[in-house]
Amino acid sequence: MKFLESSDGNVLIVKVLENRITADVAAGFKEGLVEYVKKGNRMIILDLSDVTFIDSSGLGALIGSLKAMGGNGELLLSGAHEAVMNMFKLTHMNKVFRMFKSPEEALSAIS
Amino acid sequence: MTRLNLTIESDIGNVPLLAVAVNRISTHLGFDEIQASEIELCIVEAVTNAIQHAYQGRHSHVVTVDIEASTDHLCLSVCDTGTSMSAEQVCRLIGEEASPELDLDNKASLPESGRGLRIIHDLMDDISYTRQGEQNCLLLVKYFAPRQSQLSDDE
Repeated sequence: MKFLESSDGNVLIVKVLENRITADVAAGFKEGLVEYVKKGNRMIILDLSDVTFIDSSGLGALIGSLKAMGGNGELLLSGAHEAVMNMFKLTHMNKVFRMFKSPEEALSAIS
Repeated sequence: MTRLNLTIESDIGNVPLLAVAVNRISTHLGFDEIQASEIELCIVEAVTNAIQHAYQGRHSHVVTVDIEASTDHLCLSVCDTGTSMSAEQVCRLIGEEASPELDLDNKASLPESGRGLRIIHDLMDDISYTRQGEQNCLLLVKYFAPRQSQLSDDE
């Protein structure tokens, strides 16, 4: 799984450089995100603007990454396409993750 | 009636190609992009379930998707020759068993898996699951427009 990282203060912004987060890549996706958490990042904005499709395995990887923070920190999502957003609404995960149109909007919300 | 059969080896890496094909077929038949994406999602969940559970992730088996399009609906039949779903899984799929209530405020309690069948249940119009000889078949139906019975229910 490829990511592009940048930071703004203590906020890590991670852009997912894949179009699909599905069962074939979910383990690597989670592993990559958990690695950021292990390095001490506790405020992460995940930019999903390149992601056009996510399945329940991808969603599970996101939940696993959130749980890896142990309640100490937040994983915010930005740039979800309509199909991806619909998946979050269908599974009520839009009430678990705070979702924003862009990383900038997410940054404004937490600053 | 138009019929098509797609077959893949039971390797999770083969699912995206199959899924994209089903998406394009769905839009070609007249579903809008969101509906096609939902049909694609159901196929991904169904085929992934067959590979990971019916075949326990083993390669060298096959999963077939039979596609039938008629004037008012699309019928997708996902078949494998592995272990059948449990009665509990089938109940979750066809909606006879309510999903466990999630405590969305307690993030540590959220399960990381087990949503696939519920997603299929929520997005498809008709679902059935049968064992025919050595074959398990999950039948998924999506109508091109809301069915009359649904319209009546909404009125």
